[in-house]
Amino acid sequence: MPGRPVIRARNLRKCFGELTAVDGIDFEVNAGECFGILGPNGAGKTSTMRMLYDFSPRTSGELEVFGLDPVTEGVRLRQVIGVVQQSNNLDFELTVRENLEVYGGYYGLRGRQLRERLAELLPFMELSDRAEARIKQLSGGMQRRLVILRALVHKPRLVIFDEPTTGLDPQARHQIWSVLRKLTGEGVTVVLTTHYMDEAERLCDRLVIMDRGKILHNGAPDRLIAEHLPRLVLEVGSRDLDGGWRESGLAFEHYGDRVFFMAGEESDFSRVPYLPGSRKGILRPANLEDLFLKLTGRTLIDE
Amino acid sequence: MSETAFELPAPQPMYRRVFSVWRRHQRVYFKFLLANILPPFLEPLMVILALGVGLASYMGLVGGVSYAVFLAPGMMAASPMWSSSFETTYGTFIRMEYEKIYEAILGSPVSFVEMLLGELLWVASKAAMFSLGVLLVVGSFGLVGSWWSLLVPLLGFLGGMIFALLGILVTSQVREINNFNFYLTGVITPMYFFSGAIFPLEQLPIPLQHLCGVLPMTYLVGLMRACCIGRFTPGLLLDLAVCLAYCAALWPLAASQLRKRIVV
Repeated sequence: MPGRPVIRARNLRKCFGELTAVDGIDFEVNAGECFGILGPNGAGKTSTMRMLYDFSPRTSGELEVFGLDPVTEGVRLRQVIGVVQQSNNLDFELTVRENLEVYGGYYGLRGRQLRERLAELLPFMELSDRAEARIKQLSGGMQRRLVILRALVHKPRLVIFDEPTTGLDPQARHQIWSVLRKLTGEGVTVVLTTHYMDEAERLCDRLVIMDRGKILHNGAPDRLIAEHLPRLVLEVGSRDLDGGWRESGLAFEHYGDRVFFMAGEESDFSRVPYLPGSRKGILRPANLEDLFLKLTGRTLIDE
Repeated sequence: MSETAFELPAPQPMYRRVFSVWRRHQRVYFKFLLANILPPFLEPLMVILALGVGLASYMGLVGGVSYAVFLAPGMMAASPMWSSSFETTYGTFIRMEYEKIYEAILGSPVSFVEMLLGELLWVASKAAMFSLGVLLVVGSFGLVGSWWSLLVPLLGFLGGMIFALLGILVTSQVREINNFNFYLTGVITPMYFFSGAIFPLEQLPIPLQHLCGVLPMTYLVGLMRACCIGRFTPGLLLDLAVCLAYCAALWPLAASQLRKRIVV
């Protein structure tokens, strides 16, 4: 079923002087797939994304997007790629509609063609009644939605999202997730970076976990968890535990003042040595956050 | 379904993308037209009124003409210098560092060079507009004596381009917005006072005159004055050549330095 991959990276590397931001990574993204790049700040996610649309050229390695080299075919490629960068880099003096008109102009959209496209797009993000509002009058979530809308003005075949929901409230995040699902439902390929585990688990068909410029793991989120972790995690405050908790025989990760015990069955956790009268831990299924912690000894956000 | 299920559309001609950036800046500028346009338009007129009319009553002829006639073309050159310098220092810096507008544009098919060209052409167009504004007002008071003055907007464009390129080059090196004070007060203000815009440079000691001879503003003022008074000498061709040479020399520097700063 899958034809040639939409993106193909081989030994891809990006250096800024002495600093190696992306350290020889390999990955492929298939058509219509939602692909995640997961990692803490400084892992090399944004640098990887920027090479995809030729914002910055790669230092070495191979990279193909739609079978073309972004460095030589950047202008052509960006006509079918939509880009949502980390910041809400809108034209703050202009209205919602004017922002879309200006951005459409970069793609050569004008006149009736542009007006018709805007009439389609504004309801898509529930921004119709704010079309004449200035950007400063919009909430952070609305600004973010407009940045995303702007990236869709030319009906892209591949959309690149760099931390689409960082700093947004849960309601705004859900709105953006539903748009991402709609896109992949229409056969558009989506690549996104995030340091939110729940976001990656919800949206991504496949993902890579990056740290310090390297890919640690690559696969479908549920399969990665199943392959590398026991099914269940019990999260306990270390102050609630007896001093000898490390000898309980259970697999664990220790981070800050939390201890994460891992086991296949709920009954295994009867071995956790609570102090008398202390609060019991929280039992939950293992997730990507636990995997990252196990791989690096660090969490994704605290970096 | 593979990616070959659709055709990559043919790219727009380059001038369209350049123009789309020009148009972006124009739209944003016109959004607050009065606040943007009135101060830079009124300032040179106030100078002409204060010095050319007020102070000039104590003067004889300057360079063979009344002081107001001498001063007016100086302001037609100063106006584009100031407008371009502010736009490409504070303006460009804010777009680059705070608003991240360039990052946004580079997510579209517009390339870095097209984006920079669109910006430079807009800044130069604006400069031309301001020198035309001064020309129209001053001309309506009968202070312009030659039809050659119709070339003033073109010279304003040329001058605006020089100072836009210079401003971009400075901005590409500046990390802290307050440091523009050094450039504006240390480089642009001296050019305003010591380029022949306000008084003939022959009044200065010879070594200082040589120093003024390297400033692009000196040549722009010479060209403006020749067109307004209608007095041409072969030396003006050299003035024009110097202005064009400044553009030609500054373009690769400004482009490569700003690219390094934005794209890395």
